[in-house]
Amino acid sequence: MIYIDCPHCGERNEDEFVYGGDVAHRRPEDPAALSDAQWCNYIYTVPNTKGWAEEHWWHMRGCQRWITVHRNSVNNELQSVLREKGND
Amino acid sequence: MAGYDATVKILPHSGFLDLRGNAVVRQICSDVLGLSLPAAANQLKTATDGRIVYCISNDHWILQIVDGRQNDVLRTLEQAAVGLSHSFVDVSDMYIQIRLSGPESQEVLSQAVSIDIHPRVFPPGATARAGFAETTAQLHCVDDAPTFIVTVYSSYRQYAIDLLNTAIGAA
Amino acid sequence: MTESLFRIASAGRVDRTKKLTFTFNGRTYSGYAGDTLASALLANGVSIVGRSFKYHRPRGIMSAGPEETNAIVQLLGDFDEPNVVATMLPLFEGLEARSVNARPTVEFDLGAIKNLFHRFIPAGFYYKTFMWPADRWDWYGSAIRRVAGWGTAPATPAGGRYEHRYHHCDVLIVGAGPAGLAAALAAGRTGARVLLVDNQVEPGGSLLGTNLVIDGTAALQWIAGITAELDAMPDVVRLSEASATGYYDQNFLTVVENRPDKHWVRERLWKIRAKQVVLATGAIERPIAFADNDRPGVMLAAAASNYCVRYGVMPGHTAVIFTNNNGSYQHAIDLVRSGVAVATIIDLRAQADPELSAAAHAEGIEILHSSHISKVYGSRKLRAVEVVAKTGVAAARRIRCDLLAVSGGWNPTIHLFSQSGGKPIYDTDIASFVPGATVQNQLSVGACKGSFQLSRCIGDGLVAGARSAAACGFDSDDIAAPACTAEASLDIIPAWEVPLPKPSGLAFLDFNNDVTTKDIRLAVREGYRSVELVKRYTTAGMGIDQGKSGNVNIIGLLAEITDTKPGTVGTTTYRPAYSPISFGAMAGADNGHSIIPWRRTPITDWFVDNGGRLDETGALFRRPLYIAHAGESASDAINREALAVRNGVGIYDGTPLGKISVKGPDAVTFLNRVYTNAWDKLPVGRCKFGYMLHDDGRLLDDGVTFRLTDDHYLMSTGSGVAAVVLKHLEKLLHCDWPDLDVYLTPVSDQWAVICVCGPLARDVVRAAGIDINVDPESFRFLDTRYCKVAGIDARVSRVTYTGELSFEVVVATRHGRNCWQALLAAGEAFDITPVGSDTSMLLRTEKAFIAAGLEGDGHANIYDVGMGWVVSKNKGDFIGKRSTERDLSVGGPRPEVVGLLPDDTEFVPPKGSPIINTNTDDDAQKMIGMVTIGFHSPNLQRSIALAQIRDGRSRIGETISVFTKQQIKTAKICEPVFFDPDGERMRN
Repeated sequence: MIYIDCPHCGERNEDEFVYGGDVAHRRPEDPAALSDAQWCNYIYTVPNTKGWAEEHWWHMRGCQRWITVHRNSVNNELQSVLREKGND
Repeated sequence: MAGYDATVKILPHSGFLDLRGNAVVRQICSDVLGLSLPAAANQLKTATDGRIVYCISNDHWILQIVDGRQNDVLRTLEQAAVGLSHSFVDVSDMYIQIRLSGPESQEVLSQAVSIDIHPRVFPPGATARAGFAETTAQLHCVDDAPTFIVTVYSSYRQYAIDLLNTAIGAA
Repeated sequence: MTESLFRIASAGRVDRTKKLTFTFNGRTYSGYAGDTLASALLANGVSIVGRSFKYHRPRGIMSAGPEETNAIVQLLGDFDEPNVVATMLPLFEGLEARSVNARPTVEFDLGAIKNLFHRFIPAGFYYKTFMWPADRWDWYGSAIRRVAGWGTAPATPAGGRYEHRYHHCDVLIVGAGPAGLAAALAAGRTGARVLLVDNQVEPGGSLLGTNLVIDGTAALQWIAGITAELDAMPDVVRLSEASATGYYDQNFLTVVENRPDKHWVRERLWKIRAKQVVLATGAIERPIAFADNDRPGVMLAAAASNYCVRYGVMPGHTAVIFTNNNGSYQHAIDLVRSGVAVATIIDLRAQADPELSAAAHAEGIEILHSSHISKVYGSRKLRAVEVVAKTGVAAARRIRCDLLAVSGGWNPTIHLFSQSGGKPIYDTDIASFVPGATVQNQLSVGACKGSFQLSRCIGDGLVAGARSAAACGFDSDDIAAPACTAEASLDIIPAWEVPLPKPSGLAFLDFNNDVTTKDIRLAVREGYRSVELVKRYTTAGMGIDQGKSGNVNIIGLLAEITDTKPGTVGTTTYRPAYSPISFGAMAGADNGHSIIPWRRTPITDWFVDNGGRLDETGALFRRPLYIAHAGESASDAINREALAVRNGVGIYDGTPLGKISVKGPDAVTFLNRVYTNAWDKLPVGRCKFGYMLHDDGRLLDDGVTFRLTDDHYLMSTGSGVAAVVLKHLEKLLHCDWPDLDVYLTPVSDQWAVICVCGPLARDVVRAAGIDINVDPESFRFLDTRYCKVAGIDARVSRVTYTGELSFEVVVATRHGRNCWQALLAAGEAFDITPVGSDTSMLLRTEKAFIAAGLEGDGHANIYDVGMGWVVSKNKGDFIGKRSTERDLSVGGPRPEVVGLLPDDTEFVPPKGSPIINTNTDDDAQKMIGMVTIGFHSPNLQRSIALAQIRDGRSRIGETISVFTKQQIKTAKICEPVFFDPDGERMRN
């Protein structure tokens, strides 16, 4: 039960949140410009970083805002939560 | 005698408006309402006429109106915000409110809520939107009885009452 | 009355004025308030308390704490519960218990016959046995379960209340022994919020079983003083009989509290978030492996003296001590002073602390150095031991005794530290593992850190308490550490096992799982060297024990066998739970009506009162499947409702549909990007159907979206996926299109949705009173209007979920019930029929309206389900477009949705049935699809089904076979829309 510091609501239990994937896994700007192989790589090869990564989390049981969390997947260490564009 | 020393009561229907917008919209709403919208989550402002505005996040507020005039207020706000990016939605039927009060109401609420509601950090006047068992609630401590106002989605009304009564443990 | 032979006059902390009667294995005994079940059994001379797990060997009480592996009992009666540890169970009046693993009785156990066959149940038995043949598994399973069971699940609901509680504190201290009490005092005096938990009935920890002195007075007085001060602090919470069972990320710990402050609560599970944690969990004495070291009468040394000092019970009358460290000398002296005749201390070491040796001699105790136990006499009750010198020159000597008190040293209780993510390190000074670097906001103090001397426990505890509070912003003056009884160092030599007198002997390492020294050697011989593999191969350290008593001996022995060091072998991973947790504690008070939320619409109560059969299959909205008249079967009700909708008029509660307000100048751009179709031309006051894809091209949701004003739309979603859709849309706005000026507001619970559907729907709406013109020309299909229905503010739309003429009446939730009643009353003249969700599913099947999760599954794309007409060719990118286009360009066979008309018109193809092409001999081509839904249609008077079939659209007209468990039936593939294919009825 990790303790996520929501920039809006403060520290909350993990079960108030929904995980939303790796921040580095961005949707391509122009999907039509990609080959089938490149597109399938985006859809099906999802990052699963060992160590520190930036992650999207949705604070479903709170402000219902998407936030960014730095998490170390090895030991669940968390770092301060960044505010994203449009979030401040 | 089994059961915690606390009571549960459904409060009469209130009007609610869901307000979204940036700092400019916040200022306009504050001016129109004569009630300043807090800048950050976990804060609220109460007006002398019973209106309360809860801040959900830095662009999101819930305005509670107790005199039934939410439609008028909504119209006035819309007129004031013309041309600005915003969303004002009547959500009067989205929420119902339950009053949990009594010397052991913190022990009762702590069975459903994982945030810290100890009087040191959640004294009268404190508010938070947080997980409430399997749903979400806006929590508001109103006095040091202590009394908590628990605002939940209206379809969860009976669930929330059953849950709190189970937590109290009264037969 | 006369005292039992084992009860010491006036000693101990039991209350001799409160006699308690209890029953164990069918016999009635008595004990005192303050006893545990274990101490009361010892006081009554009960030597056999259970049978071992694999070999069913008779076992006696081994310890006085949570590490007990033999005295595991089933509580009976009102408190029926398996696997209760007798050494931790306070005696109460009327307690009824029995041994968990004995058939028919502990005295005569049929399973003990296995003692003769133990060579057939060696390490790895389960792995070797369950290899083959597969058809023997059932037999093995039931046979093994019969002999290797732990307790019986209670047949009736548990008595009493179980509950959960969340708790926050500045400093959580686990363990109320000397170190934990000192930490709590130092932290508490700063004004910090402190939680002190301890798994015993009263605070004091190890001090309760000793005669140590603090500040010139008995340690118990020191404990009482601190406890009183802590209890007077308003922000200190102190729990007894509360076992910390798990330590998770960011200082989240679980504690199971038995018999809490409220008498009606049986167990409370605390879920604690602490800013700082102090672990003062103490240490557990470990045994030594020698032949038959599990015989009743063999006990840990500290436990033996603990029973004397704390409970006033002698575990035996004549004792022998077997040790490898200085600690046991004081225990021997305490035993003598309690009235136990201690014949001999058998010490593996060549010498002991001179002062302790002199003190033992002064009590008349013989000391044999460089010697060890070789044999134990008495299988059901210890009679004597045989001792030999390590060098083997002197002849073996036999010593009569009924208690053998053993100490192989002390293992710091590092379970919680290890669960917190910390790595234990081996400390040669104590020949055991101690906490390495901490990884969370946590400190270990006292014996659990390997500091066994009282003065250090208290001194370190005071420092840790003050430091933890300071880290939370609370400061106060230092507290001076009190003077304590001086104690010799442990001066231990490692001893995991001693030589067996003959090779067939059994020396136990893990008593709980019957793991012997031979099992470890066998595992190594068979190639398992990693401690994690040895654990799994031998089952050592699993089950109730969780490595409390046996673990370090196994690691030490493994190091010896593989010629390495214990620190190199390392420990296995310690996992929650530290001690057994009841299912009641896990479930808490959430049962019955509150375990899954039941979301109600304003109409739900009407259905409950009027024969609605509610769907309880896990959906939060328990919609009525159908509304049965008295005596009506399910199929009769569904047929009646379906005929009414097609021929008259039905009424349906659509409130569970999700609703999301989409508002802002970029709302139309947003809709264009999240739906497959184009939204630019939808005028205000109109609505249309939208199909929402994941980016992999599969169906996420479908529904109707209304344009309310220029920049304001209302989207409807499926009833179970409203939050999923909101999450999806909010993420796109936040991560991918932050430039779009759109606000989303969930409004599902704001609106009640009532659908009036059927050829007579217009008549009903008119009869109810509606203040707009609802003529077909004025109020067309897909129009939406604000108006009043039966005097209630409403928004009415011409949308359909059944394919019939329909009016969707949307009113504020608090007016939902009134509106429903008004429409029912107005419809009475037209025989209006309330309709459930099963009927609705039948009606949509007749119309082949696609259902997410059935036809729209993880394989099908939008063309496969026949919804290609909802894809706009004339707009830019939308979510799912690239994947949809890829499906088209790759080509190949697709799972396409078609209809099925079974040749047997009474045969209803079950959902999920495989569809087989019997016209081919190529096995790979035989399985061509599956049934997604089947019904008997009363409107068509025959059975129908929808199916996903490989290239199904090009097979229309072919006959295929549907496989069910019972039969194979033929059916003809047809166009999916069975009813009103041109949709004239809904546009009427």
